[in-house]
Amino acid sequence: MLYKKAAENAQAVKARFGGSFDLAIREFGIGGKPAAAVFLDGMCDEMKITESIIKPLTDEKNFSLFESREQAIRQTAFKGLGLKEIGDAEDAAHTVTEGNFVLFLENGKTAFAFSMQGFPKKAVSEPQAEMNERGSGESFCDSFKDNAALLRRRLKTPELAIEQTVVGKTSHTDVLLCYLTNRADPKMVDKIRRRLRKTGLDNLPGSGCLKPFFSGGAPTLFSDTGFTERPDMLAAKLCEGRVGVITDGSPFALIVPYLFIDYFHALDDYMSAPLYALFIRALRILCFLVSAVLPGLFVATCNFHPEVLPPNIMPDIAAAEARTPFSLMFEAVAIHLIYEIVREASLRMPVAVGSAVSIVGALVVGDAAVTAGLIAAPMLMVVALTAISSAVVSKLHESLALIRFAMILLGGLTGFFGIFAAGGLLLADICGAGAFGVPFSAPFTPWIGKEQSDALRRDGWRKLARRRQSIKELELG
Amino acid sequence: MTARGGISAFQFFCTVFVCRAIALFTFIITNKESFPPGDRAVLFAPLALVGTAAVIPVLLVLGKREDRTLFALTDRLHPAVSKGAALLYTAGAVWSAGVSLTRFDLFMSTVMFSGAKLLGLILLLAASAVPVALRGRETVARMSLPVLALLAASLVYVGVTVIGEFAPADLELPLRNGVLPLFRNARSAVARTGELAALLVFAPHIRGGVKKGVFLWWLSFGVTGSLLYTLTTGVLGAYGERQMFQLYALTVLSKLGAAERLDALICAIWVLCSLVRLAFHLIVAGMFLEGGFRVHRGAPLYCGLALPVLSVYFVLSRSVTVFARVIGSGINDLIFLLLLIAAPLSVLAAVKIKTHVQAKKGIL
Repeated sequence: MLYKKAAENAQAVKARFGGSFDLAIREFGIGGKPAAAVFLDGMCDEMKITESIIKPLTDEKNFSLFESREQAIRQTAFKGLGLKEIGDAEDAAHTVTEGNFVLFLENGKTAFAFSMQGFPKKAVSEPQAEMNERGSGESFCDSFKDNAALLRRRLKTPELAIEQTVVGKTSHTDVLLCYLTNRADPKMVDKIRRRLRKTGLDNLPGSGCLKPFFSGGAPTLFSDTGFTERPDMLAAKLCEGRVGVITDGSPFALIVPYLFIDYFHALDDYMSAPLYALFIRALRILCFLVSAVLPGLFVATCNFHPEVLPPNIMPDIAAAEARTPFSLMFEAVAIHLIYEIVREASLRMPVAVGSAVSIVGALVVGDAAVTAGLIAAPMLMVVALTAISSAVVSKLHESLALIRFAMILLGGLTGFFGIFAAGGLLLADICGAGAFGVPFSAPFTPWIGKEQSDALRRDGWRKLARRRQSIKELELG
Repeated sequence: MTARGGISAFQFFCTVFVCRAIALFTFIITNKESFPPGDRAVLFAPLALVGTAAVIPVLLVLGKREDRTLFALTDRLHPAVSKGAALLYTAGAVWSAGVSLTRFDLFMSTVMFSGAKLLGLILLLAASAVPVALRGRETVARMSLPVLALLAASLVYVGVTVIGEFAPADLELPLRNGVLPLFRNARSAVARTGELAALLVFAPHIRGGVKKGVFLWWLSFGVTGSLLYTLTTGVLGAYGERQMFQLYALTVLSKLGAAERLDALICAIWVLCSLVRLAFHLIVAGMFLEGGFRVHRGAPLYCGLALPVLSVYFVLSRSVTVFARVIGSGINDLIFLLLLIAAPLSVLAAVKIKTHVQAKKGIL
């Protein structure tokens, strides 16, 4: 319910905000009667408010043809300003938080909200986490509306549905559910919609918080919900019948469901020759394996299975290791721990200091430790190769860091057999994951022949143009 | 009727293949005289025939649509029959898992880490099987394909690298002692394959032709075995006959360029096979208990099942002699006869008789 006096309504909204300094109230006259408006300073474009709302509203000529002020607002150009009618002060307060300009009329039964957003936001910029050579240079930004527009620009079809919903009891964060109506499975979309409604989250600081709500069952090391900062990548995934989730304030969109092989795909693969795409994808998988097991295998080989190494290499490694005071396993754990510390420091430190951290890390770990005889050079080479390999599959860094430590410990204590037992558990983790009936390990296991055209290999565009990739093919009945 | 689940017939038979493969690799030939090397090359043919014939009672239980479980029949007789059948098959699965764990331990402690106590490794393997089983039958079925691919790649590597040593002169002509020993050996090999009893509970969750799959599975498994044993005989000759684990002896010889000894790496792949086998048996045991006692297949059940598996292992792994004596006593034949032939046929006959009696009563 609204008060009869416009100023009282505006004061009610102000009270709801606990007297916040940025809640602005403007009082003026419309058609000879008082009116009041509220908006959040900094969330709205004041120039736009003056030009598009206050000036026309205070011009008496605009009201001469209509019976009432309400009718004039409803039936004139104001409609184009995202006009919404509100029945009470509580709703008005919530509408104001979205960057709307809310107008109360004296003796008015409803208030009017105009979309006047003008808050500062990050501009569309180059992707930071998904670099590419020949693809688009645009990435998502923090504004969900801009992100929706970026997606729309790439999928100019009415089949692209973008549903808006709100998540977060306190934050009221806008979340967009994007899918192609003619490609996505309606049941899957409905399930995602329901899960979004039932999150029960209080605050939604970023899109990553929604990931667990879309995951299959048991917790896994690898997420079966992917993320991308590239509108072109999201558009490509939507064309395969997947669903995108864009969160306001986050430049990363979620992709549901996501497959294990998707972690090894990059946009550049589609610009290269199919044979090169196959090579580069296989190389990424090799880098994943190297990053996960190489340190563990090295420790296991030296400790338990030296016969695996060529006879002319083993003495050199043994001589280098004999000069260090620590066991090979301890050395591997310590140096990887240092690597993770340096990585974390360079990630969190201000950019200006970040390079200093890298230099200190490189000097201390790379040079001084070897010179002082604390760490053997072969181990340093293994760590360097592991670190470079893990950068190739950077989306899997979190999982890989944990796996690597487990592999080093198992390799050091039980040899190859512990590593392979852990590998079995990892395989079970990959094979057991999957969201919305789509196995995470598809299309390899279960083997789905017709979906191999863009899995490890990528068929040429002539072939791909003839057959549409669809996530539906991977769903289990 | 239960809705068809997420396992294809191909995945199911891949899983059973992996389970059988590790049993083959760690198999100890205790009575070499009765298994002439020449016969091994042609063993696949009688194996496919005898094996398929032996599974007929199980296939009869599955019915025409191949989606009936054993409990669909035993429940018609009496709930106590279901419970009895559940206990019997669970015991079979637990025994099989315990035996495979023992075989693995004997293999590792005999040739890989001579004389070492590998209890920690065995416990690690058993403990790893529980979370894998908890992930469900679909997970184990999906796991089996990459494990099989890895195994096939390692065998191809071994084959390619040792083929230069192959001496056809070491091979013997098959059927020198007639056809009967060949069939006797095929029967023995079939009797060690209790895994197919899993069809009695797995069938409703398998998509595709189970019956056709059974014959193809036996054929492919037989051909693989025959090829491997022929290769072993041709490469190792008389030396191979003295080896306890012939296939391992073959992997030791394989070398390519700088990689001179990759046997440890190849045998580590066998750890994956063992994990699949253990998890498969735990799942099968769990499914039988679920069918007979309506228990929930959760962590407590699988942990509970791992205990008797380890008990079997502790009893059998005391020494190779104890293991050979127990296995040589014909216990496998008995278990196979009971689980794959006698029990399914008895249940089928009892259901038929009960249906007939009820129909007669209805008419009277």
